[in-house]
Amino acid sequence: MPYGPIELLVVKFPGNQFTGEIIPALKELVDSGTIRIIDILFISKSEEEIVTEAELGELLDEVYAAFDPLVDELAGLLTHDDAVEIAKLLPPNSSAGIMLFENAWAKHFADAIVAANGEVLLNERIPRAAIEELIAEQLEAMA
Amino acid sequence: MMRRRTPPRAGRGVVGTVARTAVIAGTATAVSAGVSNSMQAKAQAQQQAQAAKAQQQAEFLEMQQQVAALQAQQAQAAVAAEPAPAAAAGGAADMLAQLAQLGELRAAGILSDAEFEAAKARILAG
Repeated sequence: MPYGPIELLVVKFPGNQFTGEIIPALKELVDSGTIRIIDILFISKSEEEIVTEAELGELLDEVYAAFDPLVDELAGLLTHDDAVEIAKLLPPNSSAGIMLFENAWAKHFADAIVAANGEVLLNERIPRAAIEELIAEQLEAMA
Repeated sequence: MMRRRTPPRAGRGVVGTVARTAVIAGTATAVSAGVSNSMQAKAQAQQQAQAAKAQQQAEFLEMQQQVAALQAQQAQAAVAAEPAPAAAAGGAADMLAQLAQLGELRAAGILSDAEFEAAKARILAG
C-alpha cells in the first residue's frame, strides 16, 4: 500500500466563509512532515440550510494561495456523498473543511521499522470512550 | 492563476465505504478479533465441562430412581415374606454405594461406558 495511515478530519467554523486563519497551524504540520494532505473538500450550510460544496480551486484568491501549497494531492477519495453526509452534522450558517491526510510521521517510522527488519503488527487508535472506561476502572480499584 | 484540476468525486466516498466495510467486518478490529477468539474457546470449554457435569448428574439421578424402584419392589416382597427386612434395607444402601463407586471408576476412565453399563446392570439385578 503506497499510503501510510490515513485519517479523516472535519473542522467546522462559524459563518460561511472559509478563511485562512487555520493555515499557519496546518502549515506547521505539513512542513514538519507530520502529515501529508491527500484530499480536501469544503462545505457550507447557509442560514436556510442550503448546502454548497467547494473545491480547493474555488476558494478566494488569497485563501487559495495560502492553502494550495499545503495540499500534496487531491486523491478524489472524498466524494459528493461524503459532502452530503458530513453536511448533516453542520448547523445553519457554518462551514467546514473536510480533509483526508496521511500520517506521514507514522509512515516514515514504519519504513524505518521495515529497514530494521521489523514489522508493524498492530496500529490501532483506541476510542476515547475505551480509555475513559479504563481510567475509571483504575480509579475504582484504588478507592 | 492556473488552479489544479479537481477529481470526479463520484461514488460512495470515504464515509460510505467505512460504514460498509465496518458492517462486513463486523466492526472487529485485529485486537478485538483475537480477544473474541480466545474468549470463544474459553466459553466452549466451559460449556463442554458443564454438559459433562449435567450428564453425570442425570445418570446418577437415573441410578437413584432405579434403586428406589428396586427398594419399592423389595419392600413389597418383604411384606409378602416377612423375614430379613434389615437385609433388604442394607442391600439398597450397598447397591447405591456400589453404583456410586462404579460411577467414579467410569469418570476416572478406569471403566469404559460399556463396562460401566454391564456392571451396573449386574448390581441392579441383585
